[in-house]
Amino acid sequence: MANKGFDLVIKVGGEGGEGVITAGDFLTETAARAGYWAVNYKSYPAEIKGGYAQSTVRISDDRVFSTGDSFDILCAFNGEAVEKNMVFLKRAKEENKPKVLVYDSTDYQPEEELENVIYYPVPLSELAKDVMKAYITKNIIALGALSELFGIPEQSIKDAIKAKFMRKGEKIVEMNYKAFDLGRQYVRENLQKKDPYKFPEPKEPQDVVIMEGNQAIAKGSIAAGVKFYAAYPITPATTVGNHIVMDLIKRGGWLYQAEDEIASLGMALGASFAGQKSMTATSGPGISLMSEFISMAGGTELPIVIVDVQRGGPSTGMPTKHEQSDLFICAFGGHGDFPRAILATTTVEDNFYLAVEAFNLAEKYQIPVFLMTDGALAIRSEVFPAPKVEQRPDGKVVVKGNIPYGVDEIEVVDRWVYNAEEDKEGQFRSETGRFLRYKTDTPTGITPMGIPGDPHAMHAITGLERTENSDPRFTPEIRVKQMNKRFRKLQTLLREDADRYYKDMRIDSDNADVAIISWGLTASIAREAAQRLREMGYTVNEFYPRLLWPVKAEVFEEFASKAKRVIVPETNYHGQFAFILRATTNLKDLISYVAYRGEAFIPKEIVDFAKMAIEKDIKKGWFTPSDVYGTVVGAI
Amino acid sequence: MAVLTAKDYRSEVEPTWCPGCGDFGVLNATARALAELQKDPAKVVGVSGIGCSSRLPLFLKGYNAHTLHGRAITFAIGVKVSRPDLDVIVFTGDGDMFSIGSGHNPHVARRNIDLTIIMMDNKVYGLTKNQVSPTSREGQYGSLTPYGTIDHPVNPIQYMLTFGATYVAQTYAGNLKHMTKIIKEAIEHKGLSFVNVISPCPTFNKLDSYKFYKDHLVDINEELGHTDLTDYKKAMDIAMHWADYYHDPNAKAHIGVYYKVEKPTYHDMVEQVKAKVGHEESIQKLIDVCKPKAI
Repeated sequence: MANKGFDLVIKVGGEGGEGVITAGDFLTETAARAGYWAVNYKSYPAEIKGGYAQSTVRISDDRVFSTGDSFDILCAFNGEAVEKNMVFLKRAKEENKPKVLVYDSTDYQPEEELENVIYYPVPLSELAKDVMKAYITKNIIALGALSELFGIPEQSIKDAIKAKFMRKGEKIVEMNYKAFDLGRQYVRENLQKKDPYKFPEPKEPQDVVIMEGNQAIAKGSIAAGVKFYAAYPITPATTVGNHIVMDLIKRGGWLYQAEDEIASLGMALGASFAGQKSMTATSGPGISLMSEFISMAGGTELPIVIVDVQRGGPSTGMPTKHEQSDLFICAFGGHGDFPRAILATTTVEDNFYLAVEAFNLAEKYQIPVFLMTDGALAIRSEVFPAPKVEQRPDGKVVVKGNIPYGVDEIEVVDRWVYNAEEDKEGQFRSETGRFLRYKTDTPTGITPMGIPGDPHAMHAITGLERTENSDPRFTPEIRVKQMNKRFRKLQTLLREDADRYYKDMRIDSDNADVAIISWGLTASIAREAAQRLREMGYTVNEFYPRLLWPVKAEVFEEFASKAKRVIVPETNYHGQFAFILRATTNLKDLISYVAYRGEAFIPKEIVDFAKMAIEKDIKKGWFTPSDVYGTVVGAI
Repeated sequence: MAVLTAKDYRSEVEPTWCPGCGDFGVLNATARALAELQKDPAKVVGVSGIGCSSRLPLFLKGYNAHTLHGRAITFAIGVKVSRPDLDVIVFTGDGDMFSIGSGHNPHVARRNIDLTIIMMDNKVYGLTKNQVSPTSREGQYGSLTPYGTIDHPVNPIQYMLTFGATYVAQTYAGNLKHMTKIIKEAIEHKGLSFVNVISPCPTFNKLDSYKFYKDHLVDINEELGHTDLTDYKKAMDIAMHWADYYHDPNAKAHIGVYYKVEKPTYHDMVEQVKAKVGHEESIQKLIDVCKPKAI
């Protein structure tokens, strides 16, 4: 965490379709093969073909969770990529580290040399076209050049190349090796190393996986035992489906491509009613469409996991951009009052484990559970310790690994299904023998579900208010009892499960200079900011809850009581989580620090704001990076 | 198991429909059809949306779901696709299925999902007290169209034939025998079956009354000699005569089976895909593919 060991950020930028993303993926895999950790933040152009794409890979000795403030090395596949990053290259002047620009000298010549920037021209296009006679090898030539310049372990990178291409045959592997060697050779013969960046020796590789965010959700859901997935394509959620479809079939389930998002959730709920673990994934506009069914899921007590891979809103908004602005709709969307839970992920690794947890909460409490993530996490790759899934002989599944929010393992929960054999006393039967699906006087509010096929648990469900045996009825007494039953489940959740998602908390002082509460991807960036503030001599407390709804007020209140001020950084306009905390706790003096430009924060922005808040003794209010810098800054 | 009678398929909940509502007949015919087929009530799932007709599953024994306006088909697909062992019947109405929920019709039909859709067509919104529906005749009065509607109605039969339903029939709530036979056939049919039941609403629709239908019905199979039920063009041709019935107050409405063919169901295709893909017992293996590949 403390950036004392090896810590290097390499950014590859260029035209979409030129292998920019692949080059980044190779670097990520190379890191894993060489025994290092990596986080790879990618952005694709909004266009189907062409446009600027980039991949920023941070490789380190210790786990890091953000891609930092900016790159150390930029590998630009064309002039546009240099121009796009000029703002960062210019910053090198005031930073204490030089920046390196490796660029395609066939396409670009710098007009002036910037201070503290080291230039390495490599004619990538020319080498690809004239020597390799294959333009598609441009990115591999670039990797060769990077390998030679910065000592990126040759064997690890070649292994990554082979693993990718061996399916296509020995010839293709050989061609790519040749391109790689060409890049190395060009550097050896033409360039003099002038920069301080040097990749350390490879270490014994650890037992790791490399996953993309949406892939991790897919894998986690499979571990949880999902059997039905209803899909409707929407950026940036679609790839959850892409990643899960074949696994789901292999596990005896099915993915159904619906005609719209309303249908998706309807189908997923039908499957849940039929007894299956069931899910759908969408983004903001899809959540809007699903609202009526979300309300029905809450009212009829059907377990369901709804993944919201957030994007920039409102309306169609910015489909390919990062934002955390769906918290309100996930917490409050849908008509009427009903219980629900929201889990939010801060990393790709979280995506895996919290997907399992989302099913657990949905199945245990028979409520809609939102798993909130976002477009930047969706396509980010991470190297993280491989999760272990134990399938016990009794059918129980236990998920283990380096669970990032501080729990040891996750036992997969299956719903409480009515068993007439066990209910000899007829606790869940009426006097005439009818199944009481919605019995109101259980201590937890939870009642067993009847699954079609069982002759002892036949019942109807209806969106109407109902009696214990599900007959429509609106008398005040029945209404109040049913409502209380449903909300008792949330009280149970707060009592039995909430603490599990509140463990990622660090208290340095009982009177810290600043405390940070953050969620989603922003939490991963805040974590790095907090560390830098500490290194500057400030005392910092941190809290990154994974459960955003319901809110266990006393946990937040106690945390906040140990600091002079609490900053809640998040990427939406309202400061939605701070808004919810002000409403559900006695904390009124929270400082909302928000960005809504379509990009994640960088750590520096949080550091600089926290310093400003401390120096000016700010205790509450609403701020953006413009209040710190006087202008809108872009990070990517 | 003892022989079940129609009564054994009825729940304790008493219907809330107006006296004379055609939906009583549909409930009776459904219970009779299920009894004739000796279906296990625990393995029959009724799914409905919102509207007078959509209350029907609450009056049936078994597993039933009274869901959202226009969304019964979506919920039913989820049940059937995840549990193909169940018989799933959608109970819906003309507003539910052809107004708010019409977007789901093409897809359930083209995929030939093995559901039975029973649409109670009273040509009016009854639960919200008299508004015209997508099947109302031109000139019908409704609370939002007090001048007599200027909208053209849709032809549900023609639509469902176009979308690819593999069993399409129309019956009449005043004819219990015919209705029972059709519903029974529809449940037995493998694939998407659509049954449009002309179901009079004596409270709000004075045009489409029992009196009117008494001498305005013709049986396309018995009386018009439509016997080759695999003849798609003929089925379409007959369905198109519906236009006469709507525009000409003296034209006759059709009952009977328009179309019935055997085609692979969605589930049949799913099974083929599953057989091709195979099974993976170990979840760990599915995760380990994310490790750097051994070379």
